[in-house]
Amino acid sequence: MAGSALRRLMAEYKQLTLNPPEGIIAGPINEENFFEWEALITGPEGTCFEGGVFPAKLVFPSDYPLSPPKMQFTCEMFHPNIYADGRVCISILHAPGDDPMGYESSAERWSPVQSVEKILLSVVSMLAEPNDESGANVDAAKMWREDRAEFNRIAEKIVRKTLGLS
Amino acid sequence: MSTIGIQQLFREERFPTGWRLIPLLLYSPFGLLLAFLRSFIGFQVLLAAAFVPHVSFIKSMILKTLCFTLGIVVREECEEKCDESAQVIVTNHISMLDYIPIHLLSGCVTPGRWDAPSAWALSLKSWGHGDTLLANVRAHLSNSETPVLIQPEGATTSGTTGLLKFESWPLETATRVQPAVIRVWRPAMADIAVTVVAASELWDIFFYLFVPFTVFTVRYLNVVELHKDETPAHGMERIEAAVAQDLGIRTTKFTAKDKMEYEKRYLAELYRPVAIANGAAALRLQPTGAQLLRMSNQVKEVLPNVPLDAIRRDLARTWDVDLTITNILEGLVPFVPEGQGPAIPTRSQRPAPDQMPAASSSRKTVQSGSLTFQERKAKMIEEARKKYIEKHGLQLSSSSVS
Repeated sequence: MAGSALRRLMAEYKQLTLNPPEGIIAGPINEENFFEWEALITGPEGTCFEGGVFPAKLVFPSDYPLSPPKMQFTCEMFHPNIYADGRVCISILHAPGDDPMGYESSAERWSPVQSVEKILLSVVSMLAEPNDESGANVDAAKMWREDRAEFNRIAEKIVRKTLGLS
Repeated sequence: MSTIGIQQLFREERFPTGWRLIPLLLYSPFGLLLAFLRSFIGFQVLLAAAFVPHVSFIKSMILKTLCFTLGIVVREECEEKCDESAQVIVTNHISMLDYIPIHLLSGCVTPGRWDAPSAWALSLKSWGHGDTLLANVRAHLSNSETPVLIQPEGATTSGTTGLLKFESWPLETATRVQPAVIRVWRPAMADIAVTVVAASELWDIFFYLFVPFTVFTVRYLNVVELHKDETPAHGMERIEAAVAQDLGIRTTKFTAKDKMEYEKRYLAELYRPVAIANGAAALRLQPTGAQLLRMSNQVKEVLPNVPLDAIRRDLARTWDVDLTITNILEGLVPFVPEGQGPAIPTRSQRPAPDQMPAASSSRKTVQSGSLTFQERKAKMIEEARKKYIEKHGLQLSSSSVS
């Protein structure tokens, strides 16, 4: 099975290399291991994360694309849908049936028709519009709802950190 | 009884490998010239054979000229065992032209597939198949003194590993049979196999014309006589064993039909990737060079340390980028990795506002040299930082925050 997963990953990498979505690059950390990728995501313009370049790690299962990859930011993040350790909590990364929060519609779940590119684009829109019902980071969600100015200030700090400008 | 696989009975590669290829390459200009001249002469001779009177003296002259043009040299061994009263000659089968040396030595005729006007000169008789063939051979033997050559394997082998199973019908035509063993030798500088698995006869003939000469050694074995109350099949087994023993190889249970099946499978295997990519391949039956270039660049971007010519070789078979990537990853494509090239191919760092077409982007890749993934990352961060400072600087001056 790993053979078809590898083939699929190679094809996706090829696609991402040929037609990269704006502000995103992704690829295997090491060509020897196509099951571990690194991605850089630029914070979307007009949001509190604007201008930041956020590194993340993607780990693919051997039965990819039947199972979704796992994604984890490797920089400091403060966001309602990102755990303190950087793990990303969005519906596209969850297979239908495993729903830790119990409120995701299965339409936006992981399925083999999704792709790395779609995941990364979803993460970009997640950065732009946090889902404050998700409890991945309760403090961030609460601050997002109640003290947006403070949230923006923390986000700004993180953006600078990712650029080495703190 | 036999542990020989059918694939071991035949040669797959026509040409020698390794350093032995060098003399062949040096020889090849002469070979081509020789082949050209010989094919010209050979064609004239065959043409002439169709019109001259059917006289045995002319026939032997034509055969000798053909032998000369084909570069066939005949050696005879153990002539003392040759018994001319045995009208049926049975040999192993090495090449499609095996019958020519035997014809020269014994003046025999052969059931052949040719029905051309000049076939008489080659002593080929179109005698049909199966029972018709058997009847025709019997009729010939009762009416004529001319011996008949039969190659009971029904198909060629390399003659170095094992024999195909002998058919038993030659012993149904006569009770006394003259077995003989054929060996083929070509000089070391042009050591090209006389035939290979699934070879076309035209290529076989071409290489007869190409090499300086081909030596056929015919070695007679003791005449085999069918004992009373011995079946032809059993008698044939004795002949088979004798031939195998003389060649120093083994007998097998494979038949000419098995060989046909094997050749079919071999060809199917050879073109397997095309069969898988059938749908796509059908759409682009005649891909252009530009297409091949574009596809090989796509593969190259994914696997930068694979040389382009290795990629192209496989693409020429598959016509499918993904399939070729898979083949390379699964180690089906032999290649020498290119030096410490970039681990990962480059892309222009800032995607153009409108998306660039793939072709122009890959050209850009070639021009701008290659960047590793790490370099691409560093560049992306650097650019974002500059942009941020620029923007932030503006903000600082306008709103004087922090």
